[in-house]
Amino acid sequence: MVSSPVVSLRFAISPVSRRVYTIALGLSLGVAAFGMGCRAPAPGAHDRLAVQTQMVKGPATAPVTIVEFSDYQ
Amino acid sequence: MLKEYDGRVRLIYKDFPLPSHALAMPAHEAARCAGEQGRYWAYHDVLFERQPRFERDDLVAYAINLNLDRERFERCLDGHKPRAAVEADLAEGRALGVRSTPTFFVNGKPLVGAQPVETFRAAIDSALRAAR
Repeated sequence: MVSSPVVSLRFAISPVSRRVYTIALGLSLGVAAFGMGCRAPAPGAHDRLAVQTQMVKGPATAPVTIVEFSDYQ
Repeated sequence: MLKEYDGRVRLIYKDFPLPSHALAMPAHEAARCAGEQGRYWAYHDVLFERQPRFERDDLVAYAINLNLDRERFERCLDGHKPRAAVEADLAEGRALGVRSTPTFFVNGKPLVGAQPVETFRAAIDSALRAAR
């Protein structure tokens, strides 16, 4: 497990042996989102993001993680 | 930006195809199909360069130009193999309050809309200071 003050990471192997990151954004995300006008995630239900390694750039040990929600069109 | 902060910043891309964009979903699926063949980011970049030309033939042509296995790509695309994963990203975004694109979270702090580089630099620097 790798952890930082606001993001902790847990690693798991899927049934198809694809490495998946499960990211617990935690309370900090909810508080920050609320403060900036985004709706805070429901407690416990939506505070983890499953991310495929193919859609990640940069090392898992980086102290800063940017999550981008984007639309191609 | 990632080069500038080499080793200190990680980017996680999440699919958030807006319902108002009819061809967005197949484009997001196509990128993941390219990812099956190890070319996710190359295809991702092509999509941003060529938007909004995302008809099926366009998506296949982009794959061919990247020397992907056409048959495998078409099987993935036509079978909507990545659909569930894209929809899972959408659900995660909605749960976090994402309503428009692009929306970024820098160590959990939201940045909504296309922002100048300086804004990202300030957010990253602040997060780096907080992480010390």
